[in-house]
Amino acid sequence: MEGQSLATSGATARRTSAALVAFLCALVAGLFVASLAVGAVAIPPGDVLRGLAGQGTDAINIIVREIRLPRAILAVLIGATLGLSGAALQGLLRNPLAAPSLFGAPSAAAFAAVATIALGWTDVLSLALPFAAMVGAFASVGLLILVAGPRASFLILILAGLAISSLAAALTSLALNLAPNPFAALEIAFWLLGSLEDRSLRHVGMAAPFMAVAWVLLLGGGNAFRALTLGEDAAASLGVRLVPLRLRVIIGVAAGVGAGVAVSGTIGFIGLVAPHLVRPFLRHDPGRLLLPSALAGAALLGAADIAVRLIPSQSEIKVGVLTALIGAPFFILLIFTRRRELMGTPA
Amino acid sequence: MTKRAAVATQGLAVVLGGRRVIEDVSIRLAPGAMVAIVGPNGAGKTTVLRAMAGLLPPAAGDVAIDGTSLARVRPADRARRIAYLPQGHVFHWPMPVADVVALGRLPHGASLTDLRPADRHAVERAMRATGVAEFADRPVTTLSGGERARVALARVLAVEADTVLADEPVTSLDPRYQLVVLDILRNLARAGHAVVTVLHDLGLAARHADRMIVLSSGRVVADGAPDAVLSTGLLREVFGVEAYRAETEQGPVVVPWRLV
Repeated sequence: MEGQSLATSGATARRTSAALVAFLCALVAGLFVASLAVGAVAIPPGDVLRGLAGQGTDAINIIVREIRLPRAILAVLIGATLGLSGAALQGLLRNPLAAPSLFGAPSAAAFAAVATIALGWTDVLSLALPFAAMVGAFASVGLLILVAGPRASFLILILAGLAISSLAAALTSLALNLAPNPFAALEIAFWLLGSLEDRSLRHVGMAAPFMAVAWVLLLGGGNAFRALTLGEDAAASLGVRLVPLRLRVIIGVAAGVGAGVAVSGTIGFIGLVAPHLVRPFLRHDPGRLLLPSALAGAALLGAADIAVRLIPSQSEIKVGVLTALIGAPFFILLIFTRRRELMGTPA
Repeated sequence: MTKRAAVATQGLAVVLGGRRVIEDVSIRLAPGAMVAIVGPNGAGKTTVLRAMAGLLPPAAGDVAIDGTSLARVRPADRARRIAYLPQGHVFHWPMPVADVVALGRLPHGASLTDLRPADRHAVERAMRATGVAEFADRPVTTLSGGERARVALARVLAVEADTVLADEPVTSLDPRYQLVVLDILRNLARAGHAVVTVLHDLGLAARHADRMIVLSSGRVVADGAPDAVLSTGLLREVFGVEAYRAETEQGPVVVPWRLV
């Protein structure tokens, strides 16, 4: 009898999870098409498809294929990478408040990108840029682990992340301060705001391979994150190799976040919010969470990037500004609702 | 059921944070026996258990299973042979109890999303043995301390390893559940597993264990049948307490009485 219930509850969980993934895929696809249709010139869905196939008017072909398509693709790729990074970090650290942006990775990546531009080492379309951003992200995470120690509490990680974020922000400000001319300053400001405007398929090609590496690394951590529900010792006793796992997550997050920042600047809070939205539907299983979090991240960033085009304003609001405006209060709310258990655990 | 558990430490020393926490510990486990490790706080009990589980590298000596050094056994293979229950019984996510218990099947290559019949049966047996089946669907974080302890134990049983190492499995449990948990572990030993528990309650340890190992300052100071090991002299020396010891029909009763 119990066997029956265990089998059926497993089947129910599988169905719920499959339904969630199907729903999120449809949502992402819908937002993708909407992203091609929405903007300064509204294009009806039929024309969008004709434009995609290169069979619309010249203007529509150019708007859909060269202006909006790269933007829509990047929203999906970067959103998915951020959602997945957040879910993986939360799994590794066993804490729902973990996210790439809380550990300074995006700010460090942005600084590295800004520095290479400010120093004139590279132009904005060079492959050196995502590489520099990744090195920045990797260095920040490495520094974090170095400062906090291998068995650091979540509180220490957060504090060290805050310090590293502040350092990266200060260095970026310095670069802004010392910018040789207003154009360079403008260029640098872009990295701080975070936007998908005016990207080309070249940007997609630049970031996509590194993000693919990140996905492979992070999606492979599912069972280990599950085992970590029981703490590090129990997980190790179940056969999880903790040191390679940490490396896998660090490299994955650095590659994904670095590649994202290199083409879009810093876009925060997607990694914090996305896992949170899907977790209750997945019985709080940190392994099953990974793929739906990626899809939720893609949907969130896709929706945000459409929203910035619809909000009436003099100049378009940058999508990174919008995600921070929504994400930061969400973070505050999350702390507020969880403050009892946060106080209960010895950090 | 034939079990060939033969985890053994030989001259084992472990260094943690630059300090030699245990020194020259040689313990050979035997299938079918329940061993209780006792000792004052900081004596190195948890360290011995973690080293036996292959979670700490020896600074000297060795931990071996069936004569093969654990350092040369793949973690996945080791995980099927040795199950380890850490103290504290923490669960970081509010997963349903059944999913938590199923984590014990990870070393067998089970995926939580699709348990094979063998995995499902192991999970069911473990939940029945510990009496947690009735709240299989509840989020584990909403359970009481006693319930959580049994879920943690069920997770360990689900591994179906031939060696089970349980660190303070009954601490913070009420008397009834202390007996429930120790009975489960003793039955496991009767079924041919090698069971090691770290216990603080000397009376419980004496009654449930076939063999008692006393650690003091990182060294084994006594190892043998509980009757013989728990002398008032040893209690005075190791724990710094005068103990009251009464011989009853069911064996000796040992109660710490006052400070030396």
